[in-house]
Amino acid sequence: MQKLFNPKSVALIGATDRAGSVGLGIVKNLLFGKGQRKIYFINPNNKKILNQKTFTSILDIKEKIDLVVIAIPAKLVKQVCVECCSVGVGSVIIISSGFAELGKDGAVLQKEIKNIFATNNIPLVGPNCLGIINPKVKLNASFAPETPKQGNIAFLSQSGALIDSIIDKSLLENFGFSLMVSYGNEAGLSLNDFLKIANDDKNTKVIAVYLEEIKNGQEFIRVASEITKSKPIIILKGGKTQEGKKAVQSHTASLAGDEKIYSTAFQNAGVIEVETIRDLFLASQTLEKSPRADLGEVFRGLPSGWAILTNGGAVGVVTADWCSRFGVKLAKISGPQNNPWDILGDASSEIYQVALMSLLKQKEIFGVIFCQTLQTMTDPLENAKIIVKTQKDFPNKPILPLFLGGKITKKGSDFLTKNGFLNFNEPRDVALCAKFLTKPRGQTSG
Amino acid sequence: MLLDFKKTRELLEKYQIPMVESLVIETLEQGIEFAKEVGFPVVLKLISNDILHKVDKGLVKLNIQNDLDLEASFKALSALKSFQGTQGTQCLVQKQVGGIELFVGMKRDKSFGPVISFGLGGIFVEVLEDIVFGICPLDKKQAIEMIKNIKGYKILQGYRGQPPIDIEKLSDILVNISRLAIENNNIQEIDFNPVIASENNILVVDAKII
Repeated sequence: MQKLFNPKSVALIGATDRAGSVGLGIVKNLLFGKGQRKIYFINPNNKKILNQKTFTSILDIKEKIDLVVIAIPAKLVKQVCVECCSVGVGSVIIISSGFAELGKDGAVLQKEIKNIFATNNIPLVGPNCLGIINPKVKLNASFAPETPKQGNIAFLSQSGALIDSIIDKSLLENFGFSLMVSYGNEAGLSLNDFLKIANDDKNTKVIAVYLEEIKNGQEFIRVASEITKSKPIIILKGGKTQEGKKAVQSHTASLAGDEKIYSTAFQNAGVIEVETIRDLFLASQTLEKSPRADLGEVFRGLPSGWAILTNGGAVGVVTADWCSRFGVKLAKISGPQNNPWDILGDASSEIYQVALMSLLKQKEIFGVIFCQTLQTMTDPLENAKIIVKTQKDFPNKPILPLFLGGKITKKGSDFLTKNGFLNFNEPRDVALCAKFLTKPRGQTSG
Repeated sequence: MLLDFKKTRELLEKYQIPMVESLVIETLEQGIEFAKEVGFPVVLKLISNDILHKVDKGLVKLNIQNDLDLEASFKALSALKSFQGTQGTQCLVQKQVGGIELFVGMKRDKSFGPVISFGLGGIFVEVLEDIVFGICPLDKKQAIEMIKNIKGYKILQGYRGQPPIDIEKLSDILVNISRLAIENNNIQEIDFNPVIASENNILVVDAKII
């Protein structure tokens, strides 16, 4: 897989400088990694592209090519695949569409291509995909409009378009990716293969997935169950199809919603399921950045759980409500304090600091939701600094900041973001992520 | 194709899935004999290939209390025999049992293979869609988990003075259906509806296997 995700040489079949084309998009993205590898452009009709010499065919290139990206019309793809095999390339991505997604004829063509590469033992991504991105080695073998920053989230997506928008969002909100894979029609490498690749990847801490359909469900459950023992997988499933219902004859079977079957499979495999694109990346970033609450010890003392610390009653109460809805347990705080612990509107940063420390020292407390409303004596920047510093002292207990506000609060939330924290804007979001952080490691119902 | 009653019963026996006492009859006398043996009330059903919703089509006569009732019901159903899709001249007579109505189903999912569904019958499934799924192979622990996951679980635990139902037995049935599904690839769908659960017994009352 080294040849696919960190190639020393890459060739693009279908390179072009035609404005607004997929080919040009890939050309530009590949050139982003110019210093990292040799890049060859192939186009029999153009002598030069962006001042770089082109080749007529893969057969003309003397060097062994680690990765070939194919972006030409579907009807021409088979021929170049045969050529790729004849020179023995390391791996192939077929960007082109016009295969199984179009129906029977396309499926036949796809099968032929699949067989060509399978016989030659060459890993294949696609067809009908956006491509792959490995920011760490500046590999952008896709036609995405931009390259994301390096991070620890692997994003595997059945949809390429979603990847495009997520990259754009991540650049604004300052998060990054270890890998991005648009896996397309899965003729060669499947979602299950990419899950294994992301699991083996040392830079990946969290695996985020968007999918509409799983091709081999039983294998998925086996693979995912193994991975979730050590790495979280978060999935957004789109498409609540009616097709399954049409195909069945008997009564109860016709009531069976496919989405419930997927949810059951996710539960069996220890996968975290989310329902919105926003939640997918909130959860991914939380699990990337925060320690998972350590539930290893059996507590014999006070009831264990999370603590909510707040300088405003309302935000504490609403957060507690959401915790209750999501089944996030709140701890009994030792001493006279309630949970949520309201340190009142005039709480200085010193008071926040003392309270936060005392909560984290209590062994029954998994982590703290740090709520801040903006009152006249509130210092968001100082509070943000306290969170960053204290988290270092308690590396196993997540501190989740919920700084409510806007212009003035931004000083604090920007500092948090810069220091690898995610600031939440909604009690519901912070409670949901607290739930994901408390999920026992390796939990499966199987 | 819908499996006939005899084969259905054999399959259920093989997989230790208990069925309510039933007999296929061709004459009224056979029905009366059976009712004497098991005791009234009984239920009479016209055996039909047209599988959905027998009750809606008047193909099921419930609460038959005595010989006279049985005769009237038998005649009524015999008159319907020309009904499209009915098999020969047969009726099914069953002991009528009371308890909580459940359903258990199986279908083959394109991605995950055989999947067991379970829930409370009647409005719980029709209106509230209170269904849980289990992906085969199902072990006992998963089956118990499934049962506990329906919203109406409290009803199974004994609600308003009703005795609780035997969760152990029920989970065994789910596991056995999972086994049946895995070992019989030719079976596409299973629909046991209703399955009636009382304190000591869980019995399949209507079984459709396709």
